Amino acid sequence: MPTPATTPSLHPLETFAPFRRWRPSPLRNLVYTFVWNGIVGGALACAAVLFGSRAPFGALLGEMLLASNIIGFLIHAMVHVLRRVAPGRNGPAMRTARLLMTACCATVGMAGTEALLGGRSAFGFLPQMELLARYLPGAVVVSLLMVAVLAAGERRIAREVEAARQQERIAEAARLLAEAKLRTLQAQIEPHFLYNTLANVVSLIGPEPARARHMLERLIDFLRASLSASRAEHATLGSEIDLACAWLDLLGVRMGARLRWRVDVATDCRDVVIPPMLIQPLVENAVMHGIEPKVDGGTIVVRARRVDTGLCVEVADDGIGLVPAAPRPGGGVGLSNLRERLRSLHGNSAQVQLLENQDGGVTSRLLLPV
Amino acid sequence: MTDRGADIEPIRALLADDEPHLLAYLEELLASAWPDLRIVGRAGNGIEALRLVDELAPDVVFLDIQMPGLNGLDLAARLADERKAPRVVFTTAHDVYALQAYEHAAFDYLLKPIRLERLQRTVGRLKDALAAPASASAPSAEMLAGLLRQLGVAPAAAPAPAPAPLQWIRAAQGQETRLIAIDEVIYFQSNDKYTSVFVADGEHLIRTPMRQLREQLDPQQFWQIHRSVIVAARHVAGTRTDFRGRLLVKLKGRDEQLVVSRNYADLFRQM
Repeated sequence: MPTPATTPSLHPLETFAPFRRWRPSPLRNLVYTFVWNGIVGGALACAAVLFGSRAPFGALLGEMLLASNIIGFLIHAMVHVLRRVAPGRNGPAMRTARLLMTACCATVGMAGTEALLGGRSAFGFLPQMELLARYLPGAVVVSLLMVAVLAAGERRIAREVEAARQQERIAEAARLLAEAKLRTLQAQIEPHFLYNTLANVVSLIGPEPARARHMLERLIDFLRASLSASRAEHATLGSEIDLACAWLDLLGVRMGARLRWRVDVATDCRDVVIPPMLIQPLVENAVMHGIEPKVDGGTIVVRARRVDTGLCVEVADDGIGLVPAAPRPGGGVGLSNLRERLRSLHGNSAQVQLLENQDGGVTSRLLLPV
Repeated sequence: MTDRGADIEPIRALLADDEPHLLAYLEELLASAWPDLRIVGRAGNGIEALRLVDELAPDVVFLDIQMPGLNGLDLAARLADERKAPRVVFTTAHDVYALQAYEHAAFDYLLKPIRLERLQRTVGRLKDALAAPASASAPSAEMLAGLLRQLGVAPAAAPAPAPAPLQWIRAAQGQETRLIAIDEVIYFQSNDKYTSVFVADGEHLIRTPMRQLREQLDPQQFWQIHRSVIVAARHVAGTRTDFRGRLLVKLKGRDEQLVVSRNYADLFRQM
């Protein structure tokens, strides 16, 4: 039978919803026991009146409250000791022990009460079998009551834990789905890029066949890498940089002298495992929004290094800078997608920042935990 | 019929594309599809193309749509209301909207990679159109203007649009200047000297005063709710009234609540 990993310190009073508001603590449990004793004592007194007791109600109530408090605190102490002796255990043996000891506490408690009220020594009563027999039915009733109440509480907690787990599973599934969707979105190959690249290949086949072949090979590299990136959950910084290089190579052929680029990645970074398709959108943004709109073109620098918090990847351009540019097909959504992905992957420990360079142009910086 | 001389003069063309290999390839294709065509100029960007059109007055312009400086559509918009506007043939890699638009108005529209057979068809139509009486060519500019309207490009004669709303905010951070996209902003709050810009992962300080910000922000997306607070509408989760009767704005995914001052409470009356 599955039990919650951590046995909650369940108090019978927690059967009533308002009492679940306060977090468990030794003091709270003591107060709860006192309240619980009061409720049980009151209920017993009422029951005695209903079943025809002729004693005055005040005396009856006092007697019942005394008895329920003695029994209740005995049980409280017993449970406390049991938890100390065998912390976290809640198997059948433990349950049986608790049942038997609850019965003992009830018997002792009843005897004690009678002794106190009669003004005699409590211990003098215990050895007398006929008196014990008188208390036994009461003790059994008390034990069964306690077991029933505690079992109901445990079932309730198990249900709550299960519901919480279910919620967690749903949230996790939703997160994975969102991440997969965003990743696929980012690995999508822009039709403009594909057709323009192919148009360049076609135009080069006649005059420069070797260059046309190189371009096709790089396109294949790029397609292979982006297709696998849309399926994989992990990549290495090295493979992501290679993907970006293949893309930059293609753009370099297409744009001719207008695009220059270089990569500056510390060698100890290449094996770092990172989520795929995080760097590519930054490189594409730098070319599409920085270099391409600039008549004279410019330079892209991709840098990566380890920092205290993990990995820092920067894509810097000396392009046109930020102008309220007309949205380009396929552009625009890149950065917000990236942010959303980082949030679902790393919470607040990953960041993407945009910085304005002193000499014009923009640097986008990706900070990832390692 | 009126001017037979035009048939003897060679047709003059200008080519514009920012990708050099594609420009060379188009020239190569035209050489075989239309040997009589005289290519008078080549442009690698929109501004150069505009200059060359003015200078050389070509009969036909082959225009790439995505070009630095001035894109093909904007360029065509400027040409459209010139007295002797050239015929414009767009060349582009992929554009669904432009394709749709072409079916209504553009002289022609070529998809890259350009095929010789397809180009030959264009050349045939161009020859016919250019040989036709001058009066028949007049509607072409109107058609082009129609196409551009459809593409959402304002005709060149349109009055200058209102200053574009703020898109980026520059915030100094140590030695660096951080750029914050306006979409990232959750709300602005002004203090004595600075204005705080709150985004999902923190707070940035800028020097732009509230009054200036308000003028630069799109009032549909940013609501002033207090003398010192402007909030992004899409981050507002709802409002509530506290025990003192003040109206508070609740934000999506954030704990803080922003006080709405009496003067701005009308904003939320209908909500």
